[in-house]
Amino acid sequence: MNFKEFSTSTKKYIILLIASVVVLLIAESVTFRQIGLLKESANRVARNLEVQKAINNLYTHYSTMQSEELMALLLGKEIKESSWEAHKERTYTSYKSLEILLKDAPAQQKRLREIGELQDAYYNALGSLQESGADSTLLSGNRPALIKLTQTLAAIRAIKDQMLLEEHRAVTLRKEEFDDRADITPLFTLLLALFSLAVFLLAFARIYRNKQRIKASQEFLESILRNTNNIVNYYEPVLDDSGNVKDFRIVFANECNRTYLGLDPEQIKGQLISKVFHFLSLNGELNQLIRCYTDQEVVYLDRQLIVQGKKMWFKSTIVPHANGILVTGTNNTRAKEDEEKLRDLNEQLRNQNEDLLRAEAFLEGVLRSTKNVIMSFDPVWDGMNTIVDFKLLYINTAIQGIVNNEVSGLVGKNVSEISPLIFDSDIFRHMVACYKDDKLVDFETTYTRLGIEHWLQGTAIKWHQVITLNLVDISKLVLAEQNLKKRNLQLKRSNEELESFNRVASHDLQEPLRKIQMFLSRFFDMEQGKLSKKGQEYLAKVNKAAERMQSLIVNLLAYSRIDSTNDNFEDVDLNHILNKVLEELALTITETGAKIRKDKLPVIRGVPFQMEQLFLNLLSNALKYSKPQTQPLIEIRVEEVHRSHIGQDFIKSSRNYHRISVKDNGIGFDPANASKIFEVFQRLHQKTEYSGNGIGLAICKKIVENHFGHIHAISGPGEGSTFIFYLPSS
Amino acid sequence: MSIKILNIALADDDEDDRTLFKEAIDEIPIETKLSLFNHGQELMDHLSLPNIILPHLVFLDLNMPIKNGMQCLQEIRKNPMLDQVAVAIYSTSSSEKDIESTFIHGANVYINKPNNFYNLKDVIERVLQVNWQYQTSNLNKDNFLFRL
Repeated sequence: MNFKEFSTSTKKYIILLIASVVVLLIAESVTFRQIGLLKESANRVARNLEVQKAINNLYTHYSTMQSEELMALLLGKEIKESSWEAHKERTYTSYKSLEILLKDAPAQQKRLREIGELQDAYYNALGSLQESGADSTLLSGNRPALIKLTQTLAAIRAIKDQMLLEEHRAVTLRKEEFDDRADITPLFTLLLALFSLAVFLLAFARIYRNKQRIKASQEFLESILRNTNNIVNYYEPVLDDSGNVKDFRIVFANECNRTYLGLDPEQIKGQLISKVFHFLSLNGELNQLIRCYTDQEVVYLDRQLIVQGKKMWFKSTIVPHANGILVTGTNNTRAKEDEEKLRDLNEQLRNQNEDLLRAEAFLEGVLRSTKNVIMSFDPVWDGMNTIVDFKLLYINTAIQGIVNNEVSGLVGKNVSEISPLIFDSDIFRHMVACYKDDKLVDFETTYTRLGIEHWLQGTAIKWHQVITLNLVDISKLVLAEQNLKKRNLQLKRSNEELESFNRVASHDLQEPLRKIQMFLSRFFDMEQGKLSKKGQEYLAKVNKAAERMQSLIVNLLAYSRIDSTNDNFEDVDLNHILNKVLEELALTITETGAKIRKDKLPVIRGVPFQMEQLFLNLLSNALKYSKPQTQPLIEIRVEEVHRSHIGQDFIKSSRNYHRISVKDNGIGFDPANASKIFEVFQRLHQKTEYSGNGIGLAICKKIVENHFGHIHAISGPGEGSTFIFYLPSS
Repeated sequence: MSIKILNIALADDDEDDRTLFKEAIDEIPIETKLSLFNHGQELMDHLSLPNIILPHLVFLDLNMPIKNGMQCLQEIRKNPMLDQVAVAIYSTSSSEKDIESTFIHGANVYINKPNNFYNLKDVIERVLQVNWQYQTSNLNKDNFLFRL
């Protein structure tokens, strides 16, 4: 379809139409003028005839006057003035009308004036004739007057004839003129009509042809719109009260609206775009459409829309067109998705590449930094399908500590060349097994180098038909392990001894002591009265010593019984434990008037009676070592702390710990002794001053350590002391 | 409730302990008949004799030659004939392990041998009183269980 030709032909047609209208207008005006002239000619002829008639009339009046006067003379009748005077009036009227008729013809007017002059003479002649006529007979005395009258009338007639002649000539001239025009005008009109007809036929032909063309292009366009993959919509603006564009109305929408957006194009026509395309007002595109219309500039959009729950990419071009905007939208979702996929793929590749590089760097780092000897081999076969040797493909630098050869000199050689002894060791056998069974083989073996036996730990793995062998000299470890085993054995033995000592202490030592006490009490009961005062005193001292010994044995037992097995751990509510201990110490607390402040304690994993012992020992210590004449104040506080916030050095296997502190306002101790107090039989005070056996805190330490915790104390003399222990928080 | 004599048996290899026990029982104002045995085997032999008056309460030392207290306890508890016999463990051991295992095997009382005579008397008296209530009420050996 040649749109250019189409548009130029339209232009041509318009020029032609304008030209023909101009021609027609000219022709029409000419015709109109012709007809006007014709009409004027006719008018003039008619006036000429009228003038002729008026001239004739005037002359008739004159001649009638004469004949009446003459008749009156002849008859001798007394001629009254009225006989011709009556005509005088009519004559005057005729004269006047003639004068009006001839006002455009100066020659004729001149003649008329001459007639007017003659008319006066004529009237005089008539008057004189009338006077004389009364007393004379016809023609006698009146002869000169009569002649005069006749002459005047003749002169008037001569002028009248002249005028008539003039008028006749004018009529003849006009008639010719009229005839000429009457001939031209119809012909001209006919020609004009024919020309118009031709123009209209041509115009019609043109219009028809153009219409055909338009129809074809319309069908072409419709076909495009119908079959295009683009959304093509046309909107016209909707104005608000102040004349600004607030929305658009859909004037045209093609089928793609249904395909992509699920909208029936027929249904959305006439609707507001903001109602049909909700996203427009949401993402501000409506403003861009308005801008396109008001500023008359093309707007491009490329964005993702969510249509019916699906994410789609649309690239739109908005063009101001006529009184509205034309929106063309391309669904480029697929392209965008592909692009995104490609981008993802690229990203992935880049990441993989980075990973690969990192892995390579890692591998290189591992191979360079490890003390292990790492080698890889290709098997060497004989003709019988048996592996007879291995060829070295790679070896790391760790080998340099073992063999003096340069690494590069070794690669490519067979194992048999480098170390023929390998066939005697297990290593070769393990490598073959690894290759044939296709499995990872872990082994330990010994080899003797320079007279010293070395232990080697090795792993052989088959990977892509290559055997990788990882060897590490574990001689030191093996030695250390052997030492450890020896130590353990020793420890076990001493533990057993300790245990048997415990048994001895618990039963065999206690038995005689108990007996001593028992018989002492019997002796005292029975013989008290018979003893001297001194004897009683000694007996009391013996009893005291026995009691003290018993207490020592009991505490030692308690200490040794805190076994380090934790299979009897259970959930222990420390609040419950503390209450039990406080109950136990109730008497002492009442006696000393001690004040106890305590936090809510946690539930921990542990052995209940050990926990009880712990709190009992700490609290009784706090009560025991109080300042004289001071109300003891004991504060039990707890908080949970992260292991990184614990300054004390111990193995912190748990992430968080309960920090439990027992603080008193007692006599305290020298900080220099802070760790000493937890050792067995360490007493810081005079026996007599404060009762104690030096095991209580050692028991506390053992219990806390048995619970994977730590205990320490801070104090200064006279400052009171704080015992702090940490227990793992579950 | 008729007043009757409480039959008590004690198996202890320690002669001193037997003597002290007897002295304590004698000083307690509850009418009792006490039989003493030098070790577990002796006790068990006696209990297996026909037509004997079964003791209401048996005191068992744990650490004895020939047959120890634990073995005796197990045998007593296995024998339906001795169903009505209450068992009190009477030992120097204060180990939690011993206390727990004797209770598990059916001991009713666990006594740590006291270290003066006054305490000994006190402990035996309390056990006898409780045993008296046990004998005369609907308490049974399953809910008669305490530690002194």
